Amino acid sequence: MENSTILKTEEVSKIFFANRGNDVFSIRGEPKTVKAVQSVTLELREGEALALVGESGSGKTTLGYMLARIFKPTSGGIWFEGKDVTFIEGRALKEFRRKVQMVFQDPGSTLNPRHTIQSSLSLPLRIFTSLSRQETRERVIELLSAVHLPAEIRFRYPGALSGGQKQRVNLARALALNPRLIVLDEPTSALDVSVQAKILQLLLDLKNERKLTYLFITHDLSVVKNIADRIAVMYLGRVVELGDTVGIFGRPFHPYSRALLSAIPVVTEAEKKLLPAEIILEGDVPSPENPPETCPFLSRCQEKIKVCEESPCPNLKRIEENHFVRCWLMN
Amino acid sequence: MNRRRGLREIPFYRGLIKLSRNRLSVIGAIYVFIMIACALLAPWVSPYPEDAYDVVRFDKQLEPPSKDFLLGTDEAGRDVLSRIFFGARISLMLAGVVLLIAIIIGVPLGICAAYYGGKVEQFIMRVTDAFCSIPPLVMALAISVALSPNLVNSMLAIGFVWWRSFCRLAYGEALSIKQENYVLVSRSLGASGLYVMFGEILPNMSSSLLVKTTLDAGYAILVGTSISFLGAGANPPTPEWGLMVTYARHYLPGAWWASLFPGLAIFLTVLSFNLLGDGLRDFFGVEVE
Amino acid sequence: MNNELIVDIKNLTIQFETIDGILEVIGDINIQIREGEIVGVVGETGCGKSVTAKLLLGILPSPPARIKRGEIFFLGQDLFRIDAAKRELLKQKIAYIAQDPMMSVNPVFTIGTLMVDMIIWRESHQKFTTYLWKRRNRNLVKKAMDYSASLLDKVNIPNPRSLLRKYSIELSGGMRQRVLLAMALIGHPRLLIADEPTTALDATIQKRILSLLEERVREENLSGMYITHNLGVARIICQRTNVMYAGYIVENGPTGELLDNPYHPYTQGLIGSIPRITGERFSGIDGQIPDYLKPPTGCRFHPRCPKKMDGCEREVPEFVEVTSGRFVACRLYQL
Repeated sequence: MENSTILKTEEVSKIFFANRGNDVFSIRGEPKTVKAVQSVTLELREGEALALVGESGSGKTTLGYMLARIFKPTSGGIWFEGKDVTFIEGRALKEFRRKVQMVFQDPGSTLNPRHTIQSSLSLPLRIFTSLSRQETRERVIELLSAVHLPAEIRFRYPGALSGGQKQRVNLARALALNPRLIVLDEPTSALDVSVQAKILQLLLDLKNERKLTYLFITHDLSVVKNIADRIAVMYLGRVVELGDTVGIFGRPFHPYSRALLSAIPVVTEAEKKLLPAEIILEGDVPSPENPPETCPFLSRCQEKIKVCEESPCPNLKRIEENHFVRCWLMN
Repeated sequence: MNRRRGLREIPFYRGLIKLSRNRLSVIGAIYVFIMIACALLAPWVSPYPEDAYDVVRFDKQLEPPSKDFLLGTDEAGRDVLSRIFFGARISLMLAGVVLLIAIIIGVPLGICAAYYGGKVEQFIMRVTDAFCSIPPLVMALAISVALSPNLVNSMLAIGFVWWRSFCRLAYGEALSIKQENYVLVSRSLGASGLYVMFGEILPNMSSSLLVKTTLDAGYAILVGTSISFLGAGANPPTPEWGLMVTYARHYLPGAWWASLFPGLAIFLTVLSFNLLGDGLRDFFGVEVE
Repeated sequence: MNNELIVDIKNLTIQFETIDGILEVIGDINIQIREGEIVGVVGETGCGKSVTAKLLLGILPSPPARIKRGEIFFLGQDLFRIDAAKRELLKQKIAYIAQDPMMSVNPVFTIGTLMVDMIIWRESHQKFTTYLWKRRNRNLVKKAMDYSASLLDKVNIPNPRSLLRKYSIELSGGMRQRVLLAMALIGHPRLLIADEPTTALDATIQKRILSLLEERVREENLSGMYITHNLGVARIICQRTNVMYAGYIVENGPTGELLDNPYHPYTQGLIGSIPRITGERFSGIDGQIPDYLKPPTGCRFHPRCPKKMDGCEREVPEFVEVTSGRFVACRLYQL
């Protein structure tokens, strides 16, 4: 059964304008443009978990923020449930927010330290619904139990909670309005390994129970292998490889994807055998301030050929079922 | 569920224990506490409560400290000690009114400036800057005289001048709190501006505000007594400390007690609020000028 | 190869005095580091690994912290028994690389200034006036600059001379970490303590820094203590690994063997929590780290241990060698 597309972007870009010059000492140089995201076209299917993977500067966070309408795209369009949501405001935006929620990266900083958990959790309910105090209280308890937290915790302040508990509260808040799509920005990066596992398990369970769709932003590929159905590998604002998790791990095509996979610090020998051979990339992660017109990965690619240096950025092309790559080596 | 919580677990007491480590601020706190107690209980604690206003004893003018009059009498024969107690009332009331006005005007303005940015921010902050360029005492003096010098007018004048530093403080704090992720979450959920400003941002600056209020209480009292000293504030026979000093100073150095003790009261009060405020500042770890 | 014992920590117990009471933060740990090897200290937040590092460096604030028991031998000398002057000299042989490269380098000075300052200070035998005098000496400064450039070259920085003129904010995370490593190498240390140096870096950069670290340790004949919470990283760079939980070392062994075949239930739980590429089920560990004010009696892991036996709550299990080179503190392995 074909799953319907719940969210779609077309040629979406985000350019930030900064006023500082390059030199540390100049206060006002020529305006710099940071091309965080360049012409990304993506589809999210209902009920799936898509992971946006990449390093710093890849644009994955910016893209995620755009899809949650925290940022507005500089160009291109975003469609949700078939409707254009690129520039909506007011009531339409409010309706959108009800259905698309976001969980941010650092669990500690997203909870107001002066508000009790009860207060933080009831915020979306107060804004969007007109439940009575009693009903709000019941809903909060219900949400807490959905994330396996005891009801008493609602009287406490975030400072008294552990990282794992705080993240569960964030999750509970995201679930408060029964959204259809949740964008998660590195939801487990700040947590210890033993806690991380529990949160990931919780995320999977919730997804299945409530038929949610997830957009995962992360740099941790081991997590991705276990939770994502599809992966989009990003580099310098572009998607360089897109496909099923199985396909990308099993037959990674793009040189960057292969380097990323080979860099995963795995724990067991068995896992090491499944990864591509070690590729150590020279040079630093470039900044998206002046991305080249050519393939974005050109400067660090160890498999480049003459065509790569002479041609503009390649397009995303299909190499097998559900597997797309942006690379001149394909031809 | 009915576990008996040790006293140490209640955050308030933990705070008190931590605060008590700083000796000086403890001294400040004790004095402030005594002062407030004296002010509240003035009619009952003073040996001569009637001396606060209308009584005049010409036969006992300017008597040195004795068994009957512990701190001596002033130029109208009134007990200095009792008048100091009542003066505490007035000074505290002044501090209270001034700070109330300052906070009610200054804090919302500062938060709005930080939250809305753009033209609103420019306008509010430039007005504040203008106010900041005039020394508070001079301005309060001018206003008080213009309005006709009495205690109430001097309180209003000082309050009018005081809001600017609260505005600056609120502005600075709000600017940095605005960047926090929880504010972003509220805004992205579509919370109204009013809620974000006063429900999310304001609670997080409460410790800075508390520290500043404590520190400023002393200074407000100082400004108030200075204005009365200069004759632009309270009028006789009000037992206001500054007023007491200014009337009794003609009799220095002979009848030193009549002006020294009120002056000492001012000094100790300002010092104590300062010490307490410093202690609170270290305790909360905030940066307040 | 010389098998000299560089660091030998024996039965170390550290307590913190707070207004709530006494926290037993480190309880009876034993760590050994031999020459040329990198020993990992692995554990989650709050297990005490940073406290151990700070103690070795001598930057653990000593009124709240109290060493209740134990000894630390560095280069054969008991750090607690020798006098302060000798201790200072010894401390100069320990270098430290911190976690977040952004925070660890002073942004107001150029890299060159920072490194030259450090080099000349070392030459000044801890005397400030000597330092001020030497700092004005052009010859010395030039020599220091040359030395800095050679160190930067050792950490594979292209164009070291031009980097000396740069400020730290102009550098990327990976570069900054290399600069920190170069600075750490200034005094020809014998021990390098690295506290999660690659956590803040991207995966591809991390790989490079790790291989650089390995290379440097080999070439300079250093020993390393590598603190991390990431078992995969420990596998790459540590020859031996200690697993810490709630202030105790629960397991120790050659890293590869330890990770492939963990003995202690906590280690097993940790490894089981890590998402695998092989797609096996991963589950966390129930419960939370204990409250140090009232830690569990006996083995501190017993409330969360799936293999808890009778007696685990009575006494802390001894840290014993179970098979050759592998140590565990667990009742399961005591006969």
